[in-house]
Amino acid sequence: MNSIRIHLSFALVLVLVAVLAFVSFRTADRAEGLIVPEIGQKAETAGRSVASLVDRALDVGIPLDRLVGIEAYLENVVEHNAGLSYVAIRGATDSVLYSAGEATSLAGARVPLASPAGEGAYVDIDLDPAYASNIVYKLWIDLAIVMVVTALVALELVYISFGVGVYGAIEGMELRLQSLRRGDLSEHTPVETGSVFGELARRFDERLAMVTARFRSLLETARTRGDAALEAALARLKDRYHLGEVFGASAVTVVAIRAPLFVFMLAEELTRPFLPIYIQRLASPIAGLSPEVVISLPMVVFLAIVAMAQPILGTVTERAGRRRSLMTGAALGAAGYVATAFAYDLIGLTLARAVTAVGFAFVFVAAQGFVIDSTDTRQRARGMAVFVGAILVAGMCGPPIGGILADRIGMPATFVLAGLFAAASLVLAALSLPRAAKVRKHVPSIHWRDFALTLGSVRLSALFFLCALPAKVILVAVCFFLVPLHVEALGNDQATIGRMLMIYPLAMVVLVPMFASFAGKVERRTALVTGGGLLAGAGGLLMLFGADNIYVIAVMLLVLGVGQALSITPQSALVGEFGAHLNGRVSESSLYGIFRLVERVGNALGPMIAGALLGLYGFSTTVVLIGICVALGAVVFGLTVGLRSGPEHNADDTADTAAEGNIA
Amino acid sequence: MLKLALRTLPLFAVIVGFAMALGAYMNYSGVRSAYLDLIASRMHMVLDDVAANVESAVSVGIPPAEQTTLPALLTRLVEADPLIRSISVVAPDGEVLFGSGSEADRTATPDADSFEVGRTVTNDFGAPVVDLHVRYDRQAPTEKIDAFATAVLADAIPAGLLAALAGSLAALLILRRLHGRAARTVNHGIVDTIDIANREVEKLGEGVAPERAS
Repeated sequence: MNSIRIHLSFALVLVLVAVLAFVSFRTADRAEGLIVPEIGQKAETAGRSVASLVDRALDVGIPLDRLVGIEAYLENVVEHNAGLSYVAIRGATDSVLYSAGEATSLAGARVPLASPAGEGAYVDIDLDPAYASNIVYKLWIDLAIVMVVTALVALELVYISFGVGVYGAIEGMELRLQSLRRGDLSEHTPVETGSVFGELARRFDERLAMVTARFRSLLETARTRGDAALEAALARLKDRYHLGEVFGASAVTVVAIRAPLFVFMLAEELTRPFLPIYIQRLASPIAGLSPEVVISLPMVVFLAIVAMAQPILGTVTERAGRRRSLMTGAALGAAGYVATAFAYDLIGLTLARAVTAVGFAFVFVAAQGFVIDSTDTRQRARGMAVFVGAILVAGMCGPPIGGILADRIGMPATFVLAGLFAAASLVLAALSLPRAAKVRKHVPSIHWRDFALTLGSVRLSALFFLCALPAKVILVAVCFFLVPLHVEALGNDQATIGRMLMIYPLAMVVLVPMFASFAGKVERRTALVTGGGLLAGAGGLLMLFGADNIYVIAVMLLVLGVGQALSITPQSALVGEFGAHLNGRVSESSLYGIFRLVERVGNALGPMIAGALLGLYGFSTTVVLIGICVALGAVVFGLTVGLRSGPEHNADDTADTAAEGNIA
Repeated sequence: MLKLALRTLPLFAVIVGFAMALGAYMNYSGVRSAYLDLIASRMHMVLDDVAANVESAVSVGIPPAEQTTLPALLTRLVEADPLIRSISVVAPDGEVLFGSGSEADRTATPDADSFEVGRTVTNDFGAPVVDLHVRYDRQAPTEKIDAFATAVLADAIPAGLLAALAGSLAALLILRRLHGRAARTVNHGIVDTIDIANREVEKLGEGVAPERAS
């Protein structure tokens, strides 16, 4: 990642920290003016209540100093009334007869006993002086998340302010300075020169071009004359400074897809923490189906449409144009989210989700197509990194913010907001994507014969059905279906669910690149896939030890993320490796097309399996069962491949797999 | 350069605006719900007091309709809390047995100007004995919350504007720094790797030139 974006985001975070802290402190001050008198009123009421109880006891003849169980009662009053710190019954001489809690300097109420037997005695209540401030300070976890998300959003969108050309020039100039600092004098791809940075980059390139031209001219001379010594000296110079080389081509135009894609994906991710809960509240019984299966239906429909539509939409977006397709998808998404907000029964909700799914599939395929159209083979990996980055960051930012919003403004209003985000994605696509972009025909056409050949390979079938498919099932079933429902049932709010759903994408963002470079060096990718599957499955077993503890659930999500991050890159590499044994009878693109299709089927099956098991066995057994199946699948895969070992073949599909790791 | 930095202003304005709006709303709604919860819990306390009275009378065999001390208790409770409009003790068949406050407040369904909390008192066998309702004023708390919201907004709007401007200023400084480094490089302000490489290439070229001349 380049430092200009980091610096700008860091500056934004600093500014936001300062400003939000100021607003929070001011709110805490103002809250005291509102809350403290109210706690005082409550203290009066509590005091009267306690006095009335004591009066009744005194009226039936129990002496004030012989009241049994009164201290437990007073403790209960303090414990169950936020804001009260201390309750005491004092005698006529101010001596404390009974008390609970800790006395403070903030007096709340003093209520005299009415009974003649208690003359001079009174109930004394102190308030918690930090109560009002604590209400505001407790929000700071959420505010911290808002700030981090804001910085990440800024990181994604910063180029929009400058425009693709000017931003490309700024980044281009920075890249030149960075390579100069490393002593790398490779030539760079020219940038747009209309801006001050574009002009500087052009002059830098001119300086570099003069040296490079002189170097090439000398090299030519040395070769012409057969001057081996000079040629060797120039070769050493080339090695040291990379003179005459061309810097890895950057795909400047591809960055245009990042904002519309990110904003659209953010819309979907906002709904993650509460979607199953929202469905649960609208669901009505269907004969023959358990309530849990009914809840899963709209999610299954969504994921099935996304799975089925993607292979078809490749051709559609090619013909219609990526920009128009993305805008169509964003419009459908916006309509779908708003319709979801106003759905009042399961059928309406399912239809609304189906419309959203078509929009989602359009946006995903059009964005992927745009990256392919805007890059050549040398630039493809960088282009896909832009695509993947947008999706992963959205996956990290969306759930916590969605959870906070659902808590504050309600689930329907958050769906409307998601609709606005989708609409914003449409506007961003209209503004940033070029109208007449070239379209590179790339859609792999998968034939039935390809399926037969691919699935006829035992190793590929084992990889697809024992690893890839279960990996998607456990992701969607656990992260997106079971955990939100269960954590809510434990009495937690949507913000907590959102924070928990942040764990998995966070693990993916941090660990996938790390494990990917490790996987590239390791011969035994099968072991990594098996190990990752085992770890992800073992995570589910944690539910045997504390399914009602959200920290244990958080650890389970982390273990699941680590397991998936470990296996996801080698899994994709093994597709190419095992596919090589088909001797070219199935193209690599068809092979990966079938692989992705199997994964998407796993996505769609996830909520269905989870719903069916949840209705039968409850949360913890369901997660454990799914975990065991994933772990067993990984072991059987390892054994199958171990028994049929063969030569290896390298394939690098890291970027795409990382995205698939987070896309349900 | 300034023009370039100011181009970040719309973005910073939108992003900071969203973050500030969300942050300010979270602050406001956190306090608002705590405030309303406090009032509601106070009203529940009142309900619990009445319920304790009803339960103790029922436990010694006095039916709710004959608990003649209840009206005085209800009146005392209503008078003690300015927010309470009425307290009603309602039989399971819907008949209002006792009530304090105005007739309209006791019988009409809660309007937009009032909140209501309630609980059912049951006997030892779990059968409902009476329903208790406390109706309390909505207007006064709403006015206080609105005033609080205005105050939070009054802090958040200038702070948000300041943040957008400060963000743009930071962008200006970051871009200036980059610009300075770039300008020094292209204007030969410092001896850099290009100069060093150039010298080495020239040095190698010096050996070639005389040979070419000869």
